[in-house]
Amino acid sequence: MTELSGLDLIGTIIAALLTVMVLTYILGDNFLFRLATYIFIGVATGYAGAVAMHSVLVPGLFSPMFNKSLTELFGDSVNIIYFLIPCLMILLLALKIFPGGARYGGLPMAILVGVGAAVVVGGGITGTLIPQSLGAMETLDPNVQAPLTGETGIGRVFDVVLMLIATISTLMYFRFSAKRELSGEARRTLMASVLATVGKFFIAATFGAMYAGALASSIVILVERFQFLKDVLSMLANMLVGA
Amino acid sequence: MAEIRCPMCSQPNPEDAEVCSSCQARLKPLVASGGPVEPPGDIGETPEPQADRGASQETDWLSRMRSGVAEPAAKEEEQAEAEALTPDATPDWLGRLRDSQVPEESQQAEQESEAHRMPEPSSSVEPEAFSDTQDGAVPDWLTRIRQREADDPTAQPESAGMDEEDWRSRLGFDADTGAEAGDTDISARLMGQMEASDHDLGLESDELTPEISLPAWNEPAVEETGDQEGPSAIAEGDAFPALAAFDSPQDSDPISHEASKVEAPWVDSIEAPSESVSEDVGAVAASDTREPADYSDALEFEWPDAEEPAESSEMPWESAKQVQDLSSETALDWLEPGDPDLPPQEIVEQTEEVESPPAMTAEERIFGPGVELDLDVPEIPEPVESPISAALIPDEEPPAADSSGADLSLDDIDLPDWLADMKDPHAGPVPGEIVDDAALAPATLPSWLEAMRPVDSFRSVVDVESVDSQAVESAGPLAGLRGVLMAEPVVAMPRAATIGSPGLEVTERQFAQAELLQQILIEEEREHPPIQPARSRMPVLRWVISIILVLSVAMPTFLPSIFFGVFSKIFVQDYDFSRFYSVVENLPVNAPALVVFDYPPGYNGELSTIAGPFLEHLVRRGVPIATLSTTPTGPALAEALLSNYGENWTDYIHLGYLSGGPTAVQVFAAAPRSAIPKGFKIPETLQDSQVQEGIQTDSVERVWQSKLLESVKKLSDFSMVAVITAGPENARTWAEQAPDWMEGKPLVMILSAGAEPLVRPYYESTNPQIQGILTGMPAAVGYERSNNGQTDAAGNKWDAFGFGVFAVQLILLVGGMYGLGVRLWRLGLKISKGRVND
Repeated sequence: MTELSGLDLIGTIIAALLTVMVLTYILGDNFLFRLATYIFIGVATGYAGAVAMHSVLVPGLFSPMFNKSLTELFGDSVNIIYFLIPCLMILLLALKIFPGGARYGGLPMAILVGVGAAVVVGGGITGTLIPQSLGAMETLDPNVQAPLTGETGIGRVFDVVLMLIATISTLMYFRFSAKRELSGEARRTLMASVLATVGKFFIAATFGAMYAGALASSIVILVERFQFLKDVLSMLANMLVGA
Repeated sequence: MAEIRCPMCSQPNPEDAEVCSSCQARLKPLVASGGPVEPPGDIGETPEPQADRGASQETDWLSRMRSGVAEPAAKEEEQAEAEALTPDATPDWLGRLRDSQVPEESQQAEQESEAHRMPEPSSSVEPEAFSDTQDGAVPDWLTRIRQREADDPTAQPESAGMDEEDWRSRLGFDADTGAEAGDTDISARLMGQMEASDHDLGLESDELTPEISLPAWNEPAVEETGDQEGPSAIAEGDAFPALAAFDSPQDSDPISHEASKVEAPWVDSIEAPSESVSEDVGAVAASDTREPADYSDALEFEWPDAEEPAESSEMPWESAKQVQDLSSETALDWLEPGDPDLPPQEIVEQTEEVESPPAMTAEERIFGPGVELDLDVPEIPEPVESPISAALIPDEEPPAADSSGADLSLDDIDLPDWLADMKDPHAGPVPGEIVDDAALAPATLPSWLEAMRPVDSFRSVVDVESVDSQAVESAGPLAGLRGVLMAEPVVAMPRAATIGSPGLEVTERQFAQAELLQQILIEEEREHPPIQPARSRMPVLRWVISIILVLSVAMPTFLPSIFFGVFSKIFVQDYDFSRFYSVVENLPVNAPALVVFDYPPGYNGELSTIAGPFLEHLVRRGVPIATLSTTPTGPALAEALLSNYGENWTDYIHLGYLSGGPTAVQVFAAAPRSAIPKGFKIPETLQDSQVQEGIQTDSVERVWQSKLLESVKKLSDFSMVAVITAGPENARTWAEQAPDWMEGKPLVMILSAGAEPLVRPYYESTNPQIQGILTGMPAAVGYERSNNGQTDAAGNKWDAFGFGVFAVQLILLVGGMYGLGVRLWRLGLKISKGRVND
């Protein structure tokens, strides 16, 4: 760790202390851990607000409002579309604070929700549903080579069949339609039950892989924190020794 | 000048008026052929006897009425005769009946009291038809009636006109119109009522009245008088004093309303007509929608003018032949003198030979001169009454029938109450109006006649005891009142159920539920001791695991690798690394690479370790780097990482924070310059080599004026897009939104180990949307070795990472084995217990 300036040194020491405070959770829930958690939440929220103000509101709202004349604002069609209309929407959205004017904020909210939903749904269909469905329908020709892995032959066919079974069984697992029997109990058909059980294993394997990755990430993060603490301690030691 | 009340609208009209000035109804009936007809007198009173009235006249028709009860055959013949009558015959007595209506209720009340009396038939009217059956002897029943009237002090004809007044008042005639002697003509009045009914039906009286053929027994009276005077009073001793008014049609003046209100008690002795007659009467009654006391409609047929006596010698009421169509099979049949069951038609036929009565008011014709009738009758909503039947049924009981069974006995007729109630209020009650005679068969009123019973005259079948005889309530809020229902014996007194209650059947389930409910209630009442706070237990297992992990990670970190450098010697290259490395290696250097920092600060330790070699590779190759972030902390993390490998605005540039989520990503992908107005961490001082040509260095505000981004106009102008993220959501967003705008440029992902399983399908599909993926410590170590030939940051963490992962694997293995052993042990216990139980 290179030599740090005064503020950087203070920041580094504070970061080390906060790291130790969080690691005290090993002993159980305590005051130090909660203090570190509260500080983290407050600092993150404050920093996010500052970035939003500096990066979004000032250049997009306040700067044109105070630096441009009314002629430039209302004379230019671009300004009307990109500035005045958003300002109007902001005012309507701000009315949701008041009970009487809450209904007027419905329009901007509707625009936000509607546009966001459209983007997500459209992207999900064109970017996930269709490509993934096509990817699950690979040919079973053993002579074909996988484009990425270069795999071919029986190994590739086995992979394709396994992928197909995993996809179908996983989807069948989330199908909850059942037939009500005379006893009143709802039961799936035999085939649906078998496929759902197989899909359950694939889902469990996926969750296991995700959990393993999360564990690995946690271990890496822990290692990195211990290295940070080591670096801080070394720096402090050097400073003390140097002093 | 006397006024005549219109039978239709009750408007007063001059005496000589023929039609009403308001409703244009005929006030004077048209005189039917056959001679003048004396206006009928009061039915219920004894009219003044006239010398010219022969007892034989009234007896004849009365005899025929009586004989009609016992001789249905004769009735049929007479019916046939009645049908043969000319349709133009208008009974004069009916006309006088109508004309004599007077709207005064007081006169009506007076008339009612005498309405029970039998009017004396006009001696001048002697219908020949009635003379066929009798030799002129007075019928017994009529004699009885007269005798009773004579004995009754209230019914004393202080003046025959008084009886006439009562009778005529009941009929609705006006006694003030001056009807002479109580000549009554029941038939005329009936015909008048029939005509009134026809008028209601929309038939013109002109058409009707001429067709009315009144009983022939009225004719002799008219012939004798030979004038237009009203019907002469029935000869003294006649049983139908009220009928005398019909016998002498003195004039054609309309009978006032009051004439119709005269009660005719002698009608009670008339036997119930036959069925056909009843139907006839009912038909007429049904057509007449007026109240029983309202006889105005009964008089509603055309009377001949006073100046123009009846053209024919027929009685005026004979001229009411028009109603023959209705009366041919209607109620008048049974009014045939001496034959009560005869249809009115026969009566009408018998009047053909009667001369036109002299000019008289209808009231005079019916009730005799000097009799005022009040025809003002309040409307009674129900029942529907036929004026004809009303005129025929007097209130007073007819005299007791004698042993001659063939005689008509009024006692046998059960009068409706509304007729019985039509009495003069001043006259007082008339006791014993109806004389029970063993010889007289009780008459049964037809249903239609019963329906005409007014509501106020209803007589309760149940005898209600008088108030004085009722007990006085002695207790409670109603103390002191009489007629209080006894509540105590009904309400207060407990009584056992009349029906034995069935036994309560409880099922097992209900019993169990009841017990459960009882237990719940008992539990609620029981006092519970305070709950002792749970003793805090030492988290031994947590401590053990934590110690293992810390030691496995901290010892390789703090201690030299000499002791823990085992994993550094064991390294397996990630098979995805080579592809990723080749992509970065083949990037052009004249176009910047977009690196997106979309991870939170908590994952900085892992991703900075993995992305560090990648960024170093880019900087080493001279590829400009433009950073972007969809999180507020992303630009700061990017600066902290890139500052280790290059210089801001020289090797890399920060586009800043992109707010808006997936929508902002699509907006940036479509138009990057418009999505990012301002960069992040712009240096305070810029060199000319850092800004585009022609731009003042001190006025640089936009990141797009940097020389690094001079050639970038759209997303495809970047040489590559690399997304560094710890969550699969951000990776999927860029994988879904960006490829369509990249025009074949590579999209690579630097992922955390936990997000790789969900992002790999985008990489390993047939048409991959991601061209390179870099994840985990193995990839980072391999990238470092590829860059420098030696490990650095990632290499330093490799041993600690190895030991840490090994410790985790060891813990999971031990824990799994422990859980499996416990489960098997419990299963064994269950099995052993099962064997023991068996």
